[in-house]
Amino acid sequence: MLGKLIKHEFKNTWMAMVLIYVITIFLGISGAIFFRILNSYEILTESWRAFLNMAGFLGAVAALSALNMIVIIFLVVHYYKNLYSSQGYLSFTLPATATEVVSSRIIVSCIWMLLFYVSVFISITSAIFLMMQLPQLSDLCNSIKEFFDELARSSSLGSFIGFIALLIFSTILSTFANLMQYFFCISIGQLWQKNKILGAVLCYLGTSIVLGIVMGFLNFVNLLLNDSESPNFFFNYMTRLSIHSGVLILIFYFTSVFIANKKLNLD
Amino acid sequence: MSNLLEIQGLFKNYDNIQALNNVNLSISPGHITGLLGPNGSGKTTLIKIICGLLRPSSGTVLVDGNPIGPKSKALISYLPDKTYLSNNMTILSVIEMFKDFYDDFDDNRAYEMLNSLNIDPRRKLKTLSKGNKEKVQLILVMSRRAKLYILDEPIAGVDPAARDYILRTIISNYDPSASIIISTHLIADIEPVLDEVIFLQNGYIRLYQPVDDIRANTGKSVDEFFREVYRC
Repeated sequence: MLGKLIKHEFKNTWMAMVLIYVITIFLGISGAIFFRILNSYEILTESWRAFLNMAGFLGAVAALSALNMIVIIFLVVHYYKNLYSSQGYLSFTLPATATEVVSSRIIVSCIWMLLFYVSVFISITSAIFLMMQLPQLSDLCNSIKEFFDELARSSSLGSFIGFIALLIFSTILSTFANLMQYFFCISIGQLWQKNKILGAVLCYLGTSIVLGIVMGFLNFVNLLLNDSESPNFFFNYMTRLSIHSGVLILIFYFTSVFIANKKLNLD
Repeated sequence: MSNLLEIQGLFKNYDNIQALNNVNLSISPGHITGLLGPNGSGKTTLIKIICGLLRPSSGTVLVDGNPIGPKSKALISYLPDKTYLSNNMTILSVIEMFKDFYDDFDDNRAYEMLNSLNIDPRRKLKTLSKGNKEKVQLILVMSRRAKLYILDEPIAGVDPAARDYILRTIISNYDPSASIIISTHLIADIEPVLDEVIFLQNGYIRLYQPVDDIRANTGKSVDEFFREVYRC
């Protein structure tokens, strides 16, 4: 039944998400074309060109941040509407357990979030490649190749790849934890007899403050106990960050499932 | 014949309010039961518990011998008193979804009913009027060959002609071995189709009797009797 629920969840959300991915990739390509045109004509003075380059770069960063926000808002609103508004009357009367219903929404949201970052990666990579002239592109490829050759020679390639993998893994876990914090707060909001949305907002503020304090404390302890000059400093830091995110994901997931199972109270 | 719905010692408390108070109920197959009571009597709470949308404080609910869970939900076809479909979906996609989730869903029956109402299944739900949305929901619910249909206010908010259509749809589409529970305030409209009624008051069952017995014992219709029992 979980498979069916996931399938229908994808069917209900794919159109909006694919549109966002297309816009994200289009943004990278159109931005690159803008920069190429800007830098290939001599009409503009150097200072104007620098200004427009900076404005274009900041605009692209702002647009990507806005798209990230739109993805989060879309997924969170969809989760709320699908489970805890009138649509919940259908979701929770399907022949499935509440655990399966909630899990399917969380799994699909995390996959869409992950794919958004893939689209951002594609967008940025394609922008870099499009912006560079062919000789520059060749230089970049050569530099990357030399960098990896050097790493292989110093037998650090394995640890470098391990670090990159850990960095990606830790970023993904942290992204999932952030997204699931919203789901967790929506679920906690259901414990209010009235004003459930207000309850969710207050819970979000509360958990954000608590998590901020915990994170700050962990970073402080990390700096205190570990030598920041040590080659393993960032490796250890990423490992701790991954564990922290993993624990949060488990807490958020099991609380959301528990509330759906035991405390469900649709208006 | 074993009971389709068996409820024993059911209690539900919200904070200090007792919404259901020791409800005991047995409904056998082949009955249309009216669940009647004033606002706040516990009708919706009882329905939500049977459908798995709310946890009881204590007591047991069995649907065809199954406790509330995926098995019981597969046996119940539930029509809530609100629109539970996403407005962005087309009727076709909703039918496909019901077909996928419910083995007892008969899509031919759904298309026939949509056709008889001249509703184009390719339309999105947001383009339909409130009345047509309610009809589509009823069509979906009645297109299942479920064992227990639970209809919460199925005729509220629609015009009298639509009420007739809805009642005809209910009567003509349910399997005689199945049972229907209808919760409504519009007693006079549904009275002709009811076999028995449950009167709920302050969370307990005040009366559970066949309609014919009420008429014979009181000389009144169910509607008249309800007004007398719950006179303010």
